[in-house]
Amino acid sequence: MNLLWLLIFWTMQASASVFFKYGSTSDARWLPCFIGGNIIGASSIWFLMLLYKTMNPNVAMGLGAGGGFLVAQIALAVVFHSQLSFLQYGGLLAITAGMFFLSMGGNVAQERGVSDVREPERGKGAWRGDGKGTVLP
Amino acid sequence: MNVLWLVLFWAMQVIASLLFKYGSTSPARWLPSFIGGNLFGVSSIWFVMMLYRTMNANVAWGLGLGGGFLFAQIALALVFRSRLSFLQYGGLVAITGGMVLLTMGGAGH
Repeated sequence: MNLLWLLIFWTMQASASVFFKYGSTSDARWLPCFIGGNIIGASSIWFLMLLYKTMNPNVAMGLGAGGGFLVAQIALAVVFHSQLSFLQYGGLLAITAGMFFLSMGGNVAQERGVSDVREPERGKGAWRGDGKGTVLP
Repeated sequence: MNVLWLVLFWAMQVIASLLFKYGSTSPARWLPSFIGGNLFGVSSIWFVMMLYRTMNANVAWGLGLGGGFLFAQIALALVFRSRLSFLQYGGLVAITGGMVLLTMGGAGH
């Protein structure tokens, strides 16, 4: 499911960015697009939080924010026909490479600390973030 | 004053990110953290707008976005004790650098 949440998050981030830019093109569109973009942008965090439930927070945020920024930039360039400089293409490449390293670069994806996840006692359930208990044998 | 606005923006971005992650750790915390984090995130834009008054917009947004992302990542790693490999840390640095390049590397907007 994580891939689906990630795709929805990226799509909503890109939509919000296009709304904000579209709103800036005329006075009549300003307020509706400002409100619409903010509703979509704020709501998209819901899906980032779903990723946080099962993924390492650094990986989730890196993939979410990096990919969201990347997709939003591409959407703006395509929809509004903006041209990117050589340096900006370098930036696109760096973000893509960074996301690749982040997702493929390690298998240590554990987090501990402030959470409701407690050491489960034998035979008792511990909340796992998905509303279902994990019951040890 | 610009440094102050920038630091305040980064601080609010960090708080928002921590709240979002904190909210994901239990159903009871989900909605309050979602709302609280969004309040911090949306309000933080005020300080970027303060930067825009005296700084080049691309530079301001590049510093704000890149720095906010990096500090939020560091805060998440410290508070939630997440462990990443060397390659993954490299990935985070590459994403931050890419964000700054993409924002500030424009020929003109």
